[in-house]
Amino acid sequence: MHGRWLPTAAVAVVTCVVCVLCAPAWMSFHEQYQLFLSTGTFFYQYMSLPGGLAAYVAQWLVQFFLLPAAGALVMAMLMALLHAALLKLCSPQEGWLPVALLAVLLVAFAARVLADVNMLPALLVAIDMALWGAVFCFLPRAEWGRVVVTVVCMPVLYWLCGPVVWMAIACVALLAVIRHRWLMLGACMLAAVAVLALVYVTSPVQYPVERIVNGLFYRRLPVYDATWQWVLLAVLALAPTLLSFLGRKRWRAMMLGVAAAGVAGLSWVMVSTGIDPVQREVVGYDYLVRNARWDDVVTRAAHVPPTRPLSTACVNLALAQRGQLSDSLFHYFQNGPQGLIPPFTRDYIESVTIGEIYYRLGMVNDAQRMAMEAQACVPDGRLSARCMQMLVRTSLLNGNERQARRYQQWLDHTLFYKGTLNDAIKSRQKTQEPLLKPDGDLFYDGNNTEQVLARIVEQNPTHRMAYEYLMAYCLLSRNLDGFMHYFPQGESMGFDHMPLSYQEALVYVWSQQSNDFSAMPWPIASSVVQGVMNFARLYVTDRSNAALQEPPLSQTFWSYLLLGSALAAQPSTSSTIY
Amino acid sequence: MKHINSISVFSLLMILAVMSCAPRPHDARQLSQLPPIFPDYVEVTVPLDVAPLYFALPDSVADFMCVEARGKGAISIEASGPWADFDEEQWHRLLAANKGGDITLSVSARRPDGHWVRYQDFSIHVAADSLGAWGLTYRRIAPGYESFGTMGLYQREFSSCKEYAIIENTAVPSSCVNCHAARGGDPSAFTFHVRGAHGATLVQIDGRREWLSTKTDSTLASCVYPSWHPSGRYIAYSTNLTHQAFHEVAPNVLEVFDTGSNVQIYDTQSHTLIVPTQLATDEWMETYPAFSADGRTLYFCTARQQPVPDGLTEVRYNLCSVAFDESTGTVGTQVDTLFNAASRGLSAIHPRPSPDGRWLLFTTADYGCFPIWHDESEQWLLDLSSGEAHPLAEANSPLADSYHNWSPKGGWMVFTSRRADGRYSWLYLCRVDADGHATKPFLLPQRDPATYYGTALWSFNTPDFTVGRVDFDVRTGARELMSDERIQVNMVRQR
Repeated sequence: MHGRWLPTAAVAVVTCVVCVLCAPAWMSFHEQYQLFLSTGTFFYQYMSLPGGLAAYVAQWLVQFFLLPAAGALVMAMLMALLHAALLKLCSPQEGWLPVALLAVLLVAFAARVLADVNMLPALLVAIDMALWGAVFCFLPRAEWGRVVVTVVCMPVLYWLCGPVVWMAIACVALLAVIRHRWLMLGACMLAAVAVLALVYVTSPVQYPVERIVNGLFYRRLPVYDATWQWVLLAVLALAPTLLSFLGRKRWRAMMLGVAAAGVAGLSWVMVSTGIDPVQREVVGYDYLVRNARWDDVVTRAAHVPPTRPLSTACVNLALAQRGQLSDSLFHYFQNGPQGLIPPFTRDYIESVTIGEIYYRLGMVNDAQRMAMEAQACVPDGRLSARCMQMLVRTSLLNGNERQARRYQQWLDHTLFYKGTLNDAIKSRQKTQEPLLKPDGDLFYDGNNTEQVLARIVEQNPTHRMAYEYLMAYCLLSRNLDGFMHYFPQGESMGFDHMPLSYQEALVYVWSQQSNDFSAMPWPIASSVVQGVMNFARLYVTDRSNAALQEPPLSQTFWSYLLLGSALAAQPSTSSTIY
Repeated sequence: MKHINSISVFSLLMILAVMSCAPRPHDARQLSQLPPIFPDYVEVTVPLDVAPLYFALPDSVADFMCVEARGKGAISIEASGPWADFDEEQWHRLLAANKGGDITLSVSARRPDGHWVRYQDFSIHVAADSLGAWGLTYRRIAPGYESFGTMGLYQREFSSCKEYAIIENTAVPSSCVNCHAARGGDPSAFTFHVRGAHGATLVQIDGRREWLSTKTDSTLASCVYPSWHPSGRYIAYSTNLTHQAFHEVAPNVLEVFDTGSNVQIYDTQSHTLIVPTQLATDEWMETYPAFSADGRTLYFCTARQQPVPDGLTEVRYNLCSVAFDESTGTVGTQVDTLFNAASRGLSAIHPRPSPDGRWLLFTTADYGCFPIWHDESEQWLLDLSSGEAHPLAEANSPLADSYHNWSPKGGWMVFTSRRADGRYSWLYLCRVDADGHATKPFLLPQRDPATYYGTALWSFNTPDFTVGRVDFDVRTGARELMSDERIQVNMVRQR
């Protein structure tokens, strides 16, 4: 037995390292769309439904995902428990090491399934509980003891961890067959009948049958394709039986080495290919925005250009926060004004990020609206810690402290958000206060962004971020009349030089009326003048010239204006609500 | 046996020990002020069958309270703890013994510094009649914008705090259930609307469900805001092009407005939507229909269309009525304006005729058709015999008072109000006397009310009374809804 814990420990260490280095955004995502409360009501709410304990425990654990190191430890523990349970169930003899190695593959497969942000950690907790439940079934020394434990344990497990209990029943039954324990097999069949009866008797009527069958708490989306989930459970049910055969013989060292390398490589491939690139992009940028890591947003954008309006909006927000939006707007991919403030869709991920933009722009009502929308859109109906924080802050900024306290009362029952209200009171920042005075109220429906930004600038003549957004909105909308209209207001914004994108736009405007750049009434840098002349020459003579598609010419307003795809502001569809 | 007896004795001793440990008021200082209880039940009038009026004191005022409630005769009940947790059975006995009389409540409180005080006694007036209903139905939903999270239609027993879900949208993912209405409070015939990917209008009569597709090529949208004809054959709906716009400056939040709406009558027997031309005009928006208790009149609201959102503050609805002929399912040609709200600079919406035909209850706001987001909105009564209208001053508050309904026998009304904090709508009830005056409204009782209402993240809306429990087979109904099999209604224009 000496050293048998080492592979499990290695699983824990590798999981921990991978989570810290590669998965903080994944962990943050899970953490922000739940609100674990240390109240009896919250506990009862989950315990009254099948699978509730696993969901409850998972949420308790996931709250630690707020701290990447703590979250990594949690994940390490869960993965190690999975690995250890598999080893315990197949009881390998001489060949325990190859079994332990191959069990790593199963852990990696579980990680692959869980890499989808819509698959909840509750599934992993439920699997751990069910497998250790299966281990428990074999603990009594007497056969009748095992039979009794199996028959009693499985229905209880169903209630505690949900439909993953079928995996445990199948696992125990298969092991009983290969070990010729026919009484145990009978016990499994009896347990299956008992679980079926329990499902029938207790299934909550307010949930569709499909959800009850697939588990209420394993996935964020109420309607989904559960194929991968069941494939994982089937594999885990079969694994101890198959590994038992492997564990009977000792492997040669060379074979072990090859197997170890293969397992490591295959595990990496499995996990890395299991991550949806769109999810990775959106969740990654959102994580950086949540933590106000503006430099990291810009660095990331330089390495992996954003492809979606939401990611582009994160980059633009980061540029604005660093005071570089007007200089660097066209240094990064732009996909129209919707990449500045994306239009609202009934999507919990987008709403949260859009809310951050509004919040930092001082559009407090809109930030609050997005928090409400996002919370309402969380598909599994959970409260969101991040949204609740935003509701506290925006209520406070709107002068409704009573409302803020209502939301804070929920956060008072959490581990990490108790101080939200006090922190918000202490750290009110001028830039986040409502910027529109009561007489500045107007209706905003997503189609009049320019009008709202212009009103903010009008009432706050030194609010540089709003001004930069207004000007960027005009440029990205190819609205040069608007740009020229608002341009004079820039004098009061404290620029130490005329921003590059403005210079490029001004040069372009000038070029439409004169060829004499020396007569321009604005302080335009000679490099910009030279750039527009180069651009114009190539554009007129050889529009397919590669230089137009490469920096520095591709990173200019002229390139966006003349060569960019015609991305106009997409009007928000004013759909009816009934 | 001996062992069991030992356990029993021990348990009894433990219970007695715990009871004897409960703090009792001692050396209480008499105060000349009324207790600042939440909810404010001081001097309210309640129906005979109301659930116990649980109340609490703010944490800053007291950490423990003892309450004695007594009426005439020897019956008195006590409650003690962090809040007044009356025994339900004792409460109802006390009310029955004091039918038509008063109950006096004495509140003693232990302050955070450990000293006891005794507040001035106050009364609760017990009406001689009950509500005439089993309970209430309502929708519970987060006060939202465009999205909807976990929400549903619920029913609540009035004599207790038991709440039951009629349908929650967990049963029908990505859907919103709303606009529930029963025929005069009779749960054997009801309708509600579902919006979302599997949108439909349900009409259930005597347990038979029909899922309707009420949008036709010639109508604006699906049917909403229902009102049953007392015969049960017809349901008046409106069909609305409803939109939202968002205020940029607090405390204003949002506006819900229509860009068009018509009133139409659904015949449950022929699956036909009858669209009277006088209730489906181009320049005017007709909405919120309501049948009179005798079924011979159809009330509704109408406003001239304005360009929106810029002209939104000019949209003002008047109250109108038109005769209804049950035998043909048609409305009369003459439309009467009952209350010209626009001329008073008001918008009048949500008409609800009283069961005795005397009153028309409605809500006013400065403009628009969605008063729940208007702090200035108020409850008004129109005397249908004299044509005089007046605000229900006793029931109104400085914040939004909105959705309302009459009890099945009349005399009581339920309505939503945001008076507590301006954002969340809670249910209040009050009595309306023969002169059209309301008593002080009382908040729908909940156990541990400070926690319940203090942390609730949902609003109550579209409340109605129900004379019995609504029986709806959620599992089958949800399956039918998700199947998208619908009865397409036909449209007939009545000229």
